[in-house]
Amino acid sequence: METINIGYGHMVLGFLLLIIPTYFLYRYRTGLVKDTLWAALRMTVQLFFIGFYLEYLFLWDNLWINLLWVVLMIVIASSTVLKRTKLPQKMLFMAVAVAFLVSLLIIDLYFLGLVVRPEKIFTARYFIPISGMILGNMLSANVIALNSFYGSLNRERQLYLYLLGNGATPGEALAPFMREALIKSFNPTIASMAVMGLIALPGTMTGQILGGSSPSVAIKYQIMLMITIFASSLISVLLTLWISRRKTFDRYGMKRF
Amino acid sequence: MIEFDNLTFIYDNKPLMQHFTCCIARGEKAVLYGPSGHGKSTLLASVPGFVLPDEGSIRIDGRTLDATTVQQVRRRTAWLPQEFTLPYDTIQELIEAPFRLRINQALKPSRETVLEHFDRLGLEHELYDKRSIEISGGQRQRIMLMIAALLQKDIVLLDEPTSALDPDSIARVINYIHSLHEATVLMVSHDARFIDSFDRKIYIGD
Repeated sequence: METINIGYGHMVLGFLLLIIPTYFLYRYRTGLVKDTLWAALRMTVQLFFIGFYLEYLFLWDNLWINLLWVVLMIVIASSTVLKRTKLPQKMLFMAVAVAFLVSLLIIDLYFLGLVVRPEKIFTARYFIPISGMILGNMLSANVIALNSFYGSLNRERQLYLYLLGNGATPGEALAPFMREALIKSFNPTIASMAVMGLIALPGTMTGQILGGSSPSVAIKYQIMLMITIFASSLISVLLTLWISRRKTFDRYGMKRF
Repeated sequence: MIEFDNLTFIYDNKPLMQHFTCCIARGEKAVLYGPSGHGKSTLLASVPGFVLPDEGSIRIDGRTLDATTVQQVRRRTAWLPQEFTLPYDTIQELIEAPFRLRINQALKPSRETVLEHFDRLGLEHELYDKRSIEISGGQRQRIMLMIAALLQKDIVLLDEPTSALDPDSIARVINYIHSLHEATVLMVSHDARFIDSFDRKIYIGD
């Protein structure tokens, strides 16, 4: 069955939907109007470009170009995380990037190598979109986790000092903040996983069905991707927090910024 | 023994404390007093390495406090900061929190032991089952002091442990602190009655 194409005029019509959220973001003085419009514009341009690039990436299907592409995505994702959390870029960029790279490699190798098993693990058609989806979710999870972790450390500095001053190791003193970061970051994912299929039809599945795949194949991909996204996001959040700790705390366990 | 050797603390480019030298013997109960803003709390916070001196050094039992020894020092300290709220819903959770730390686990007190200490500090037994928001500042201060005592550390650091107490409770707290025979206690206080009851008074001011 052929997928119905959306004409550019009708896309403009679709964009008009943005007026409603933008109005309320403006009315409640959230300061997010500019960010929203900029994000929507970036998303549109980026996706048009990616559509164009992907054509070529799939055509070339070269291991090194594919890897380079994913590294570029990691660089952008890491920088975006730090911009959104307003944490010091210089101090934490490598921590986030290494955490993303390691968790992405682990999950890609596991998922593509053992579950999907294409002829070549790093083949563009699987490696790039799946890495992109994983990275996008890692990004959101890390923004929430880092905001929560460093935010609560600032708010509840006395708790941290209280635990340290009464014999806690640095890891023990940070445990309540790690716990809170994990809860805040993963509660929404767990909730959305629990109702998936009932009140939410996920993007990948919908996309595959619209693209002509059979619903039974689309569902299997969706289930596996949800598990993959959950595992990779959690691994990346833990790695980011562990690695960033080494940069953000001095040898006395005091936060540097 | 805690030795402060020629300490200088600079805050906002101005000296908060300059060339301070002092020695507190093992088991001694010493009170830091004097006008606000002269570095009493800073000096107290320097013992577990929360604030580092800009000049001078701190030695605990002859070992200089630095990044390599700070963790050993913290294992030996009980720390009670000035007025603050901990995010524990119930008094029981508040009491148990520091005993969940690996180093303190073996010392976790039974309910009976806690209630015995409640008696010594003039606290009603019902408080044990209350929520943290249901108790007064003075009750919370005595409970925090009790936790510091039950941790059985060599060095007890108390920042204004009596600021919210009524006169009766102050007398009990004084006796309670004196009963910590083995511990070296270093306290900050503005309360004249409290300060007078200690032999070792260290003035921090101009």
